[in-house]
Amino acid sequence: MAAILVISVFPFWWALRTGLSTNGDLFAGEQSLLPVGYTDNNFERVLGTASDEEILESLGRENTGSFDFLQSLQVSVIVSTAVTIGQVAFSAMAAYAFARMRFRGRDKLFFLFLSGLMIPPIFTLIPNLILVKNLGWLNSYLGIIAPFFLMTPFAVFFLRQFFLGISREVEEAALLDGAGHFRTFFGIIVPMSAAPLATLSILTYITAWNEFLWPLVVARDPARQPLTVALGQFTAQQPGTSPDWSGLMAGTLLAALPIIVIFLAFGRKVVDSIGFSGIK
Amino acid sequence: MATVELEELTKVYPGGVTAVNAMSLSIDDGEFVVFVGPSGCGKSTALRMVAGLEEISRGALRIGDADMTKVHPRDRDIAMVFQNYALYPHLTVRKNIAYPLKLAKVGKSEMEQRVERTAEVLHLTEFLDRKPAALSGGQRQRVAMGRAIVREPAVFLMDEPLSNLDAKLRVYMRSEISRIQRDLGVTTIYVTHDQVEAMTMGDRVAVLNGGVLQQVDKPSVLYRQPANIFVAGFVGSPAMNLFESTISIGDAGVTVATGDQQVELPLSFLDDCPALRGYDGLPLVCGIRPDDVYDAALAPDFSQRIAANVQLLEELGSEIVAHLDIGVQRVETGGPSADADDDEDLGSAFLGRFAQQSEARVGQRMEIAIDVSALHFFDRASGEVIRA
Repeated sequence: MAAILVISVFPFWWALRTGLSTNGDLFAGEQSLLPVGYTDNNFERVLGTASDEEILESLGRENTGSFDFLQSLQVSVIVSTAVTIGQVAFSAMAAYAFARMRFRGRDKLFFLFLSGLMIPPIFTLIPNLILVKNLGWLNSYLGIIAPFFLMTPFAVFFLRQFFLGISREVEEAALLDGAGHFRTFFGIIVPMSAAPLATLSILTYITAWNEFLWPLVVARDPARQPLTVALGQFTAQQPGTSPDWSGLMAGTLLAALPIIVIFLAFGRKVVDSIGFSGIK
Repeated sequence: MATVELEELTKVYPGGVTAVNAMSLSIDDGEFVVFVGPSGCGKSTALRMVAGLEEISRGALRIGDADMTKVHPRDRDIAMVFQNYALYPHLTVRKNIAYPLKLAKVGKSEMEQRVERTAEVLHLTEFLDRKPAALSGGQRQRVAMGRAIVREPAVFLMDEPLSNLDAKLRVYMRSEISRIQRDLGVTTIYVTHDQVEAMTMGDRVAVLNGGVLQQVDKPSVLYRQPANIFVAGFVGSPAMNLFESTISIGDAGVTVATGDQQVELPLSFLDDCPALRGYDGLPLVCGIRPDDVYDAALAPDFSQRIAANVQLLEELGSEIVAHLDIGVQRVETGGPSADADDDEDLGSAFLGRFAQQSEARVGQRMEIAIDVSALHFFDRASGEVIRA
């Protein structure tokens, strides 16, 4: 258990240790578990609060690459939040319809929908890009969010399974009490499904936060790049001979911070959801 | 409050399975009617058709003066109590009970008054702010009742509401439901598979089997005058002894053969049961309740006796249920008691309810007395009672 803990935590510690070291000292070759030539300038640099002198001191040269961390953080938060709200809401409604409402071809439609799980996301990249381009949504929040905003086969499947487990009598009781489908869903089913909805929200948020390829393709404007893309761009801007490892690690740690917080707050739920989904 | 009329109510599921077949029944205003029958007999389906939760395939339903056959469940002015309580787990008891009033847009103060009043009737006042998870089974059942009562509906529907409770609580809740129904005077249809529950609670009991209404009447009438073999075997615990027999009508009386033994009926029996004359010498099914079978040593008033081997004695304290072998096979009725007997290989058992003073012993051959005036005769082919 201790070994697993060390293996799990070590990468984070190494990123922190590198982020708190100066590039110059790192390249001097000192192999210490503790920060080499301790400095917090790298974090200040990533956050855009460091002066030119401080940059020169920690980097040992002028800044060759930069990104607006706070702006990218804002993009990541907006995109992840919007995707989570949209996806969970629409998936829940679709899942309820597939689980409970009677309509012609329901099961066939669900099977068709579920077969979407077998399509690799890369297959839909180009068609989606053309669609978003034609809609004039390149470099916009709409363009980044749109493909993920409605539902995903996994989310619908996940919630449908839960809804199927809810006693039908509860819904029938609500029906006799005078509630229609809409009120039954929002007044009874959704509150009863708080746990799976929270689980799905966490999973969706993490997935949306880590999404790289789609925003890379549709958001060329740095002002619309989430952290994953901005960090990638930052890496690409570094000279091949002496990359800014300290800045990169500081930025990576800051980018991962919200997810780490989610893990700390909802760890059990995240683990359960990963166990349930079996696909992460 | 209202009358309920089921006119040839039929439910045919996709695939052609007929769950309820042309069920007709008139329920009076304020009456407590119990639908009883074995699993799969169609009793819950019939109830759900009344509730509007199942579409009516054929026939009509009237509540009061209104045709409700195609009316939406929420517009039928009914309230239903479910087997699994069907409480809203995220709401407190207070909010659970108030939910139908909230949907009916009842004013806040009136809503509070009605919830409080309902809680008092059901002894739930101290639990109003708890959630269902913090309640016992009996309390949850009372909350479910409360949600039905608070609406003051025209008709209560109850689908096996006590089947998840333990035996002791079931007896208590049985009397509670009866009390509440009597106090409120609301027309009630109650579904159960437990015939003791049916007999103790219902003003009238409707016995169903295979989707067909077999008989509907007061519990005492069902017990004493079953319309057919199924009702005879289903109603009463222990069940009626049913066995194949033949009768021969002579000048002195009617001889009923029970295996290689026989009992004599007075000719006056035929006055009450004239149709029996047509069965002279023909095979038929004879039935007698265990209550009308006595230890001959303790029943000097009954002269008709047969010999029996004692297979098993169940001492119940106040009485003894004796499993006897009189050399005849029980007739299968399709009721639950027949299923129960399969486990113990008591196919030949003839049951008697002996007084606690009986000195019968297992393995003993003894004489038993039969109250022949309580004998029932059924047509072997149709299963219908032979009476008028």
